[in-house]
Amino acid sequence: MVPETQLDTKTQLSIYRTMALLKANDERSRLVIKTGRIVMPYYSYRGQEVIPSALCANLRDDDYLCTIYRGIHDMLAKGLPLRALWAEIAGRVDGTCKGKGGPMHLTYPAKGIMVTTGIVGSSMPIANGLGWASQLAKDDRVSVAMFGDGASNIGAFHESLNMAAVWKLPVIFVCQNNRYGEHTRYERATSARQIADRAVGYSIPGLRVDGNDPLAMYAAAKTAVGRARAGEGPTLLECMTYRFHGHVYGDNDSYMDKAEKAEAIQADPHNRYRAQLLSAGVATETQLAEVEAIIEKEIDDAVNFALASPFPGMEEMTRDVYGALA
Amino acid sequence: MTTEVLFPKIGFSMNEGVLSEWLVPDGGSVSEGQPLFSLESEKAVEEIPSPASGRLKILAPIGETYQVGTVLGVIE
Amino acid sequence: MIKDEAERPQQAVKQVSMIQAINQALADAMEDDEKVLVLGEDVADPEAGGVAGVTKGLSTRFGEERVKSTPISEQAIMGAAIGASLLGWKPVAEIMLMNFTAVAMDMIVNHAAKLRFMSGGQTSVPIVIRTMTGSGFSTGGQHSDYYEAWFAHVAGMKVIAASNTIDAYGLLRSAIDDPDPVMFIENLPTYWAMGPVPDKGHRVSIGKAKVVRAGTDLTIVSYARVFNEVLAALPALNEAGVSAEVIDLRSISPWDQATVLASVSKTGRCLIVHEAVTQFGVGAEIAAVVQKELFGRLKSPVERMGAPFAPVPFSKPLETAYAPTAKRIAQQAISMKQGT
Repeated sequence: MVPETQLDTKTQLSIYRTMALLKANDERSRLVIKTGRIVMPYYSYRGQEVIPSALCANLRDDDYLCTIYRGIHDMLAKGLPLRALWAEIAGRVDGTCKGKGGPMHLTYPAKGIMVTTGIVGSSMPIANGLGWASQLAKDDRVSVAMFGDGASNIGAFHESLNMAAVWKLPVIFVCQNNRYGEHTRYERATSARQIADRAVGYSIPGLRVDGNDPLAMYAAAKTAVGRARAGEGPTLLECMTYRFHGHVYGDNDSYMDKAEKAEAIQADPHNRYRAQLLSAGVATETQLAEVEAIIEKEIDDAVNFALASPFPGMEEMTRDVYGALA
Repeated sequence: MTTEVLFPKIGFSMNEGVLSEWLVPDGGSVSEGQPLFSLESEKAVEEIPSPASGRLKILAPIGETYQVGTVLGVIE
Repeated sequence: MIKDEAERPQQAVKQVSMIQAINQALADAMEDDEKVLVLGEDVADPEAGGVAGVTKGLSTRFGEERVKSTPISEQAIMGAAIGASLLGWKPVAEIMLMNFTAVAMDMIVNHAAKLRFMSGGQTSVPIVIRTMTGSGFSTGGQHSDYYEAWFAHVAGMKVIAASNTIDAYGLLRSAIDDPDPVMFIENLPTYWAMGPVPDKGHRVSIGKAKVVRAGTDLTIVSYARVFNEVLAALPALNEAGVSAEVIDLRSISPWDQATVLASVSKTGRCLIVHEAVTQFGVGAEIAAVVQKELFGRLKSPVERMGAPFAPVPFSKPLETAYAPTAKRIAQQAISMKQGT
């Protein structure tokens, strides 16, 4: 597979815009927590913005996404609106889930965000179900299951890849390998030389890609999405990346190698891509600065909206437990 | 407009922490985002940025342990 | 006992087995609604339509896209059902034995039961989980447990169990119609028990118990296979002059509190019988509600009868003594009436 070294300008800028949104949203999330405005466990995705930005450039609104608690970047890239996001993580009634799910259970079916789970690995079995539904409906929608390197060791990974392979489901299994499963380094938890190797065990294609390179990531995603849409079955993508913060924001991340972390932050893929766009003449500094300024304003608006939104009333405690009760 | 300065929850198991230092004097003016105070969390000493611009009124003395959510001061 | 074909009555009343009643319910549901799906280990016809043949004929009739045999992968089975149901399909997933639900607990308890609530009502999981269990077939400690209390304890789940062919058909059809995840518990040793033919389209509302026999001395509440042991205890009770009002709960969660409380306020005594172990079982929930609502009106404490607090043993005499029997039920009811 030869990576596309040329992407049209529109797509490149679109990918950049998404990356910038994800970066700014993460920075604002950490700021809001630091100033005590919102209290919540926050699983920072900073450093991993390229993966969903490039992947979702290959997806439609009616394709499906299942992601996990470190998946707000995935959801924003898929089209989750900022106001609905912020109101939900602030626990307000105007959130996607009326404040009842919180950051780990954001759901937005209008953009195909069907489930977000707090259980490692559980995005995959459910993505299979969405893929089965596409087969039954004979539509060409694809389902993406996002998960981390740690999740490639849980039972659900193996059951899901096996079933998806046997049933030839239109599912893309996207492993965001940020080298750490919670506090544990990859080498201390995972027997595979690389997670992509595990695909052989399920007779499906497995591809390791530099998840911090927008062009490589876009090309790999395009291949996997194309296979799924054409009815050729599932693909395992292992996207190499790095997490700039600890497992949960604010934790004592002494378990992360300091030099390794410093090097990854130094090589921030966001800054690198930005510089590339400028030097290739794809965009000017003014253009990019304007994109970034608009994003800041949109986030300001969303945060203000969220904090002004009311909390759900007590009647919501027992609403939506059942659709119908005797 | 008055903005409260709150003791944040940084870190999973943190319910309280020590306010170690005010980085702006009482009555001093401060800009939004400027380092305002530092606290000791389970991780290390954290610098907390100011939530707003204005004049700081300190309510909580340093060296004490505070619960998450405590109002440490106001910015007017 | 009829000895040969010539003596068989010409107009025998047609009966069906529990397997046939369940099979018919699935077939009728799939015919009525193209969104109904069936999946599980060995369920399709190339695999003989299930270990007990409950799904026989379905894949031939409705196709293998809608009736899918799965790998031995309980988490994947449940995930596939949940995912499809988020998009409006109505999967009936089989977890072959109730003990194997333990393998899929994350999907059932953390996802199926909770997605409607956690999504703020945006998505829902209209699945049915069919599962079989029960002591009596010498299958031992990991293949015989009744775990309805586990799932009844999870907000968002519904749990039902039929004692006869008509309710099996009617409850399963209602479960498939139901917008919420419903666990439908079947009994393995009595799969071949015969009963009346259900009417096509028959429904039994979830949450509605049935007073099968009226009485005045005490109320016996039960469900699933062991309900038939309660019925078998009635002759001994009649002989002892004990008039029992007998209720088939049918739905474990939600359960028909109104019917049970109306009955016990009349009789003043309540005995709950289930095959699951007594401790921390469904009987505890019913007893707590009954004693709270009817405290001053009870003639004796609410009693529960279930299995002993032990895994189901293999050895035949032990296994046979494990679940409540008609004889023990009758003894318990008589001593409750006599105040002994």
